[in-house]
Amino acid sequence: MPKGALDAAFGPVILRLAKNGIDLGRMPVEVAPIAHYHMGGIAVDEQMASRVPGLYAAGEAAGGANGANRLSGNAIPEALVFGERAGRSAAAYAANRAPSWEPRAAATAVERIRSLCEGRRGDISAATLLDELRELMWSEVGPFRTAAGLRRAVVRLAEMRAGLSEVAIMPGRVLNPTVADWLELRASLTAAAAVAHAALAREESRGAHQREDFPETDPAWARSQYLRMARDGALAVGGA
Amino acid sequence: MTARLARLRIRRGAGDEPASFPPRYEEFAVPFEDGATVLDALIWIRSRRDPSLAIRYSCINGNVCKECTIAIDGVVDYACTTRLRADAAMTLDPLPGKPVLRDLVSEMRPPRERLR
Repeated sequence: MPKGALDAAFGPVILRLAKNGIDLGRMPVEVAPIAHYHMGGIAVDEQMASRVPGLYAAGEAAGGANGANRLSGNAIPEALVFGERAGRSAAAYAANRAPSWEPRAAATAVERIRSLCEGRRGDISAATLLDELRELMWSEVGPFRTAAGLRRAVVRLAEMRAGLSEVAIMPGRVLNPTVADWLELRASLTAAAAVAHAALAREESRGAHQREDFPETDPAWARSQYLRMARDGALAVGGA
Repeated sequence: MTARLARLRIRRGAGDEPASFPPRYEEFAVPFEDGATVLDALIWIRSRRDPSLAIRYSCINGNVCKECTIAIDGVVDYACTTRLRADAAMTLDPLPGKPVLRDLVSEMRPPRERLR
């Protein structure tokens, strides 16, 4: 390929590679897909309100603004437009209420953090399990998916969730990274299970949702999916 | 590409512990391929050797968030853009002149933006 054509198409990338001693005109570079944007999140209405009173969501935290794929460049407009709307909604909600702290509502979360900071003996760390989770999501819930792989993922994710109480945690209250890892692992398992369940239910391919066992696009699937979480944390597809 | 070995001397200790003199360092040997960064090594240590190591990072990919700024061989730099080397040990400290929270993480917020 003539050098001018490369420069015109990928100028900033070529400069960045050159700074690292790589001449794209002469040397190959390894490329790989990465997780770039989460196209799914908290279900909100037109005012960006969730079903939790006072909780609003926008941008990457909210689901529903994108179809089967996010158009390049839409992330910032989405955050600005819906962020402003969420802010106005939250301000209107707060305007007629005094700030309040409800000890009973917070008790479960406060007690969990207190208990985590006391530390726990265990055979495996949340940092190690987060590594395994990334591997699992890459191999079974990556760009191209099958029912068999998605089922393996769903099973392993449930096992990992059940094992959360056995994870080793170092005692300590000041910037304890093992407590942060545990909370990140728990949240990541929820997000991972949501993606895996929805991918398993969608028996077709469109946009970023590619099933090797269902390569065709099915017009009946031109819609979003909703998941519900039961009190025990189990996720199921269904409802709106 | 063959894996090489980097030796990292990392300053340890929490801000609520009495300061130790001399400061406590732990050394880790980390296998790496050319191009891997100090941040890659720190993440590897946390998942393979010692999850209690406190580090701070966010964007991972080079000079966007600035959160992984530490002192590397005494020079303030980003862990995510500093390459590992195999020829000599690299010494990692938290930012100079800032209160240490734990290990390589220091308090970066201005005092009046801190809670309580």
